Amino acid sequence: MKERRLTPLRLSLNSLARRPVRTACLSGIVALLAFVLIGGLLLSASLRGGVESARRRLGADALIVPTGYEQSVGGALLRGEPSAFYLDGAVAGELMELEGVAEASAQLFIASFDSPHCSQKVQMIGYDADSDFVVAPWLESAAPGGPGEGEIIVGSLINGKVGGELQFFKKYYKVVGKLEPTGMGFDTSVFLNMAAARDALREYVQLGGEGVPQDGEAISSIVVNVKDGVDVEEFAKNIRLGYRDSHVSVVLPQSLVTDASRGLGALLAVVAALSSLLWVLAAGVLALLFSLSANERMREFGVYRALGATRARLTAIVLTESAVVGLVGAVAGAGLLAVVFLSFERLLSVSLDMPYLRPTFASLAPTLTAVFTVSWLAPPVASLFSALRIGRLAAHSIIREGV
Amino acid sequence: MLLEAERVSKTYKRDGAVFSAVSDASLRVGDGELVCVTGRSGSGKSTLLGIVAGLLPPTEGHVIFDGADITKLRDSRLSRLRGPQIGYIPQGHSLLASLSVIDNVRLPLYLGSRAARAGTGAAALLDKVGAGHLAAQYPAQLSGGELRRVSIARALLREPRLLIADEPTGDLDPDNAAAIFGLFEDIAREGAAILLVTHDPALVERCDRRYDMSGGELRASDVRSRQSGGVIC
Ligand SMILES: Nc1ncnc2c1ncn2[C@@H]1O[C@H](COP(=O)(O)OP(=O)(O)OP(=O)(O)O)[C@@H](O)[C@H]1O
Ligand SMILES: [Mg+2]
Repeated sequence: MKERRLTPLRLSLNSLARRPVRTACLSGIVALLAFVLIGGLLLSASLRGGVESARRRLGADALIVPTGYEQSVGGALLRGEPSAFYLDGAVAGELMELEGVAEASAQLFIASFDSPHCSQKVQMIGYDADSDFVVAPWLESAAPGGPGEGEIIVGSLINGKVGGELQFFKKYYKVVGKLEPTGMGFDTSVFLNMAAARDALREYVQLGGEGVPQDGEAISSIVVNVKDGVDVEEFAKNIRLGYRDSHVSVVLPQSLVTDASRGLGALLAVVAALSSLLWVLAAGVLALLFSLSANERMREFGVYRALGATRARLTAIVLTESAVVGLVGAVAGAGLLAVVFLSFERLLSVSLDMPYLRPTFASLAPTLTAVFTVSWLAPPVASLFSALRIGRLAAHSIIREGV
Repeated sequence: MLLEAERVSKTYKRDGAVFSAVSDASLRVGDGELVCVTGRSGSGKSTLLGIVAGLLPPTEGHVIFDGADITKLRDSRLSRLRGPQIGYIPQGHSLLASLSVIDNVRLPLYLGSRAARAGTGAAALLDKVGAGHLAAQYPAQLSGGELRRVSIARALLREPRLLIADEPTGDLDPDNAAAIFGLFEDIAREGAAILLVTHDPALVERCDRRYDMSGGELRASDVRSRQSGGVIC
C-alpha cells in the first residue's frame, strides 16, 4: 500500500472531501466575496482610469459651442454619444480673435448614420492641424503628419485596421492610424483634417443630414486656451453674455471632468463601503458556520489531542482547513469573474455612461493580489475564534464518550 | 513507580455550584503492571484517566510520571509525552472517519514531535491486534471489536511506556472482550504499564491490582472491601 504523508494539508483535504456540501457552502461564500471584491476593484479602477484619461485628453481651458449643446458636447467627449451641432462661421471667426485668447482652434463634428464598422454610431471630428493644440499632438503620435486628403485616424473601438479603408457617406477613407484607448467618446470617433471634414459634411447634407447652416463655413466648436492671468470663468461668462444673441455658449472641460470625478468619488465610496460590508457579513456567516461545526467536530479534534497534538497544532490544523476552503473559493470566484468580466466588459463600459478605461492587468496586479488575498483570508480570520476554542476544549471532549 | 498520582482533585463549576468530579485521588502503576479502575457511571473514572494522561489539568494534586511532575509542564512538553511515553485510548470510538484504518494507526507519527522515533510499523501492529486484514478499510465499515483493536494498535504505535485505556471492552461480547483483554496482558508482559477502566468482573479478576471509584473518591480495592465490611448503608 502506498504511504501518504498525513500533513495538516492532507488531513484538511481529506476532511473537506468527506463533507462536500459543507465545503461547497463555505467555498461558495468566499467565491461570491471574491467575485464582488475583485469586480468592484476592476470597476473602480476602470472608472478612475476613464476620468484620468479624460483629464489628460481634454487639454483645453474652454470649449465654445452653440447654446443648448453644452450637455451634448460632454456626452460626445466623455461617453461617445455622437452629436452634431454648428456655430455660424462668421461668429466663429470673431470668437477666435477675442481678447484673452491665447490659442484657439476650430473643430467640426459630424454624426455618421448607423455604420457597419462599429457597434455604435461614429462621431467624425474634423480638426485644424495647424492651430489645434488638443488632439493634434496626440493624433501625430498615432500617424505622423496627421490625416491627409482621403485619410482618417480612428479611435480604438472602430473596427478598421491601419492600412485598410472605411466608408463614410459616399467616400472611402484610408485608415492611417489607430489611437490608444481613452475610455471616452474619442474611442468611437474618426479624425480627419478640416478640408476633408467639410467635404464629408457636404455629403452628409446631400444624403439628407439636417441642421447644418448653409454658409458652408460651419464649425461645431472652438477649443480655446486663455492667456496667463485670464480667469476662465470670467472669460466664459463674458462670451455667454456678449454672444447670447448668436446662440454661443461655453463649456469648461475641466469642470466636466470635475463633475465626472465627483460623481465617481461618490460611486467609488459606495463600492468600497459595500465591499467592506460584504466582507464583514461573509466573515460573520463563516464564523457562525465554523463555530457550529466546531461543536460538532470537537471530538474529532480531541482525537488529535489524545494522540499527542499540542493546542497550537490543533489550531493550525483548523486554520489550514479554513485556508484551503478560502483558497478554493477565492480561485473559483476570481475565475468566474474573469470569464464574466472579459465577456461583458464592452457592454458594461457602454452602459455605464461614464468615461471607462481599464488599466492593464499588469498594473493592477498588486491591488488584485491584495483583494484576492483579503477574500482568501476571510475563512481563516472567521475561524480563528473557533480554532482557538477547539485548541482549548478538544481535550475535554475526548475523555468522555460521544461528546 | 512509573506513574504516581498524588492527591489529585478536579472540580467543575456547574450552574454556579462547585462540583467535585475527582477528589483527593492517589494511585500508582509500575512497569509491567496491569491496573484496573472500576466504578459506577459518573464516578469520575474518565476524568481521573484524563488527568493522568495529561489531557486535563487537575485542580489540585500532582501526577508524577517517570520521576517528573507532569502537572507543571507546558502544553507543548506535555503533549510530547502523549504518544511516545503515554498511550491513551479514549472511551468510545475514536477513529477518524475520513482516514483509512492504516492511516488512523499512522496518524500519531504526524502529530507528535518530529524528533520522536517512528516506532513499530503500523501494518505490523495491525497484525499484532488481529486487524491486519482491515488496513485498507474505513472505520465506518468496521465492527465495534475491530474498531477497538485498531485504536489499541494506534496507541501502541509510538511504543509508550504507559498505556491508558478507558473502557476498552465496554461494548464488546464476552469472547471479544476477553480477547482484547488478552492483548493488554501481552503488552504488560512486554513491560509496559497499563491503566484501564472496566466494569467486567471477569476481567477485573485478571488485573494485578484494582482501584474502585465512587463519587470522585478512589480507593484501592482491598482497602475498600475491608472498610465496606464495617459500613452499613
Ligand atoms: N466538563 C465538565 N463539566 C462539568 N462536569 C463534568 C465535566 N466533565 C465531567 N463532568 C462530571 O464529572 C463527573 C465524572 O465524569 P466522568 O466522565 O469522569 O465519569 P465516568 O466515571 O467516566 O463515567 P462513565 O462510566 O459513564 O464513563 C460526572 O458527574 C460528569 O457529569
Ligand atoms: Mg467514563
